Amino acid sequence: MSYPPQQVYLRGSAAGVHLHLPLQAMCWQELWPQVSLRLHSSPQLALGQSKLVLWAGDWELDTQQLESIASLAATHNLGLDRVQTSRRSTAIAAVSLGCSVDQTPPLAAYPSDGNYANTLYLNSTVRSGTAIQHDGSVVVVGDVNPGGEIQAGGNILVWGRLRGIAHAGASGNTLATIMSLHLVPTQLRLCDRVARAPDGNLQFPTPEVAYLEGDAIRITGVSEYLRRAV
Amino acid sequence: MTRIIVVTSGKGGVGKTTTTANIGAALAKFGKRVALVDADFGLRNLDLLLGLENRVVYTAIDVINGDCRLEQALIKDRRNPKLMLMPASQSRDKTAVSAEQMGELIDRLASHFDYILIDCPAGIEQGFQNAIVKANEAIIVTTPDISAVRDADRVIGLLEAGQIYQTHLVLNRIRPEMVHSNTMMSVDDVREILSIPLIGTIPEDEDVIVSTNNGEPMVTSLEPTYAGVAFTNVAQRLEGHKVPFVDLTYNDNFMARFKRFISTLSN
Repeated sequence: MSYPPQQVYLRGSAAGVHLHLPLQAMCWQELWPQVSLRLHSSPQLALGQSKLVLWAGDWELDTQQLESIASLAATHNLGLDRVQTSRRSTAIAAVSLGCSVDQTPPLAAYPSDGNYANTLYLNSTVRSGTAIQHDGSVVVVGDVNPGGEIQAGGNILVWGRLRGIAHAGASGNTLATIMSLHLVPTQLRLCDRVARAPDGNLQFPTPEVAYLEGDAIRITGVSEYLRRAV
Repeated sequence: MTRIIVVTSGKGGVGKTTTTANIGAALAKFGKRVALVDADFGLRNLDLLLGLENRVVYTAIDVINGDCRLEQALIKDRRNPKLMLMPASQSRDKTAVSAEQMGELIDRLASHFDYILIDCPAGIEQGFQNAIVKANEAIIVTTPDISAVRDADRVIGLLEAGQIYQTHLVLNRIRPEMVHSNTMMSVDDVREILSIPLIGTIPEDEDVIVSTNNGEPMVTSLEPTYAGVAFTNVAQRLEGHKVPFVDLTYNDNFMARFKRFISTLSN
């Protein structure tokens, strides 16, 4: 398992909701759409009011940027309460917004017991230009459009049409599968294997699974796949 | 509250400016106070489509720089005084304005109008970011081809990242006979991919070229045109009226129409 996570990461605990910013070299313009997408597509957040802990790590955030995160969080019933940062400027900005601040070394921002292999649940359409990377499995309730991309350490399940690129078992798990109600991807990748979808559409789309058998990617109907396992 | 709507597409040449001009003119015809803001700095076209090119004295840049008052730059339409244009500068480019400055300009306009329609430049760079900064709704214009639809999909994602979730789809330049022969994507094909509410379907119409060259929006011309009616319908739907979509199915003979007529009777 690699951490820190490659992308914005959201988890819940007894203390509230934790939003982890990635430690990757990335600018605010790239970070912001990720924060926005993750908050918007997490149906769990609609359940009720909660506190938000922002793990900003090494990010230098100014008051305006923190404010935009806080006001976005507020629309999802989250009150920004605590900010963890290793940067002085971020700490000052957080204090000016009335948040409590933890100044810990950046690596402590990722608790050693943190389970990054949680399943990422996305309740939205993954549109062209959006790339989702996650160490665990990914469930999308919606379509993955052409130009959209999902990379998961575990399985990928698309409750909709998969028309973009899906890469399951990205860290080498040969048992990873890709399932979709309508599997018409631009490309499928399992571990280090790549496959194109067969040309031509099924007349009546059925749910299908892509899995690795030996060295080859196979695609079969879900019911046959499950019967095969018995 | 003023509705601030950005008209955008990602891809160029799909009809953003034509859509902005016609929907704006139609809304003004309904008696709404409408401001059209040309955000396409360096490649301004909106004044041409409205036939107001020779009235441009000051531009949005002059207002932003404080070289003129807001009212001095706003151009009243020659047919309908409720329609106003805020022209873009032709001599500068998209980097001449920052998102904050653009936002400030829109804020100043907002109190005077019912609708502000922003004509977004093609692309997803600075010009796009400037155009969407204050918008609370978006009209996505696309044509039924895969490149335009792909770009529209990307733009919808970017709008969502900018917290604009209220989006309407205008599908432009549909050619019913090509849809019928399965050589063009249908309305349903496009809707299936973009999955946002449809607000208008505009047929391909040669009158668009004529209207552009004359600087006279189709919705205000005396001769009714297919595209003009379709754009008026879009404006009606924006206003919250339920207007049935123009039937764009292709009937090449009388029998087909007759069969459809019979089937409506049996329902």
